[in-house]
Amino acid sequence: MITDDENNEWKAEAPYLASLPKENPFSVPEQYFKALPGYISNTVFADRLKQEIPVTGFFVPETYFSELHDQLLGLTSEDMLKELPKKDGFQTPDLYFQQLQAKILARTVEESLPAETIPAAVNARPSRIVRLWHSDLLKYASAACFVMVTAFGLYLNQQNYQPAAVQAADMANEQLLYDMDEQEIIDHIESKTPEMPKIKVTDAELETYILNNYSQSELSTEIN
Amino acid sequence: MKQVEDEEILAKFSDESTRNEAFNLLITKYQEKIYWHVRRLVIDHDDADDLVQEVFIKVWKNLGKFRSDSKLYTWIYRIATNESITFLNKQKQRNQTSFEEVSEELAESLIASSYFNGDKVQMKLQQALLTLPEKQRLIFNMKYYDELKYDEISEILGTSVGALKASFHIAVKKIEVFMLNDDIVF
Repeated sequence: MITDDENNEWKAEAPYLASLPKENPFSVPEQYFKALPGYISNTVFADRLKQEIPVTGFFVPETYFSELHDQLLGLTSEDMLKELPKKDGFQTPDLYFQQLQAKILARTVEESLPAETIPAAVNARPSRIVRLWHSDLLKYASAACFVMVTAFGLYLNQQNYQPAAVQAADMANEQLLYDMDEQEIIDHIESKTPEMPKIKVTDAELETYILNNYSQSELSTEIN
Repeated sequence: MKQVEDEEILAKFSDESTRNEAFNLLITKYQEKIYWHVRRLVIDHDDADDLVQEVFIKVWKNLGKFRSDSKLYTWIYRIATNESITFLNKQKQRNQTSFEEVSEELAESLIASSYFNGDKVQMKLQQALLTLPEKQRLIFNMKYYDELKYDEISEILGTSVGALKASFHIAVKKIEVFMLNDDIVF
């Protein structure tokens, strides 16, 4: 038979495979194939229903879905707020609430009675003390500023400082110069100026010097 | 149970009053063959279950247009094959994986499956099949397990008989090498 030949000709090429029993190693749940026709019929029916009745019949307001997003976000924010522990983080001094009632009562008594009848001790409310240096940071910052200003002042002073003797000498020199004749000063300066040695330079050396140290544009500017 | 002939099913299906009956007969006749064909490709029972139902929905929708230019069985087989290939391709695309990675996933699914009763040799054979390219695996399954003729496979896959023979023989050789490799143990 052709089918047998067709289905057997490969066996010569793969003898090991051919020797293996042709078993189906897969299994299915119990009663699967008994129930499968029912599942398929139901699926087909549901698909037909979807084809024949595409619209569900329900509708929503026009802007419903566009507003839904914002509403959900709002709801989730509310939910998030609800989940946060209800603590405000504020604190009160020790025994504050125990003392508060007494204070309130005391004040209500004061206000109801005329001022003369209230003893001085009650009337004299303790003055409110405002501490200047209530913060350590403020203390240290003030001290640091004071030190810096002082140091800067001292530094400036030192720069300008000259000993008294130096000051007196400067003043004396200025007085002498003021008293002296001008021509004497000029003659003195001229006599102290050393004579410049006369250097003999050849024309070639001069030319070389000029060419090395001046550009063409500079030379043409000078000549013109 | 006496197998109903395809012609009888088609005749009953064309009559609206007996359409549902025809469809039930068709399901009863072909459900197991189609199921095992799909199952061998996708391995997982639940995936196969979904696909089989999809296949029969398509059969229901298109049976009225069936022209008997091919056998009813090969026509249903073709639908099942296309659905399975589409499913495997979608898996590749969804996970952005290659063919090799999908095969590895199927192999792992096979090992983890509670609906696999085969021994170590059977496990090794199924693993060998998963190393084959999809079409080669298809051809091997249809020839080896379903014992279909090359003509029928050609009708289902739209591939020439010569190409099918070559593909099947290559698949057989690869499997033989895999099975004889003692380094691969399950």
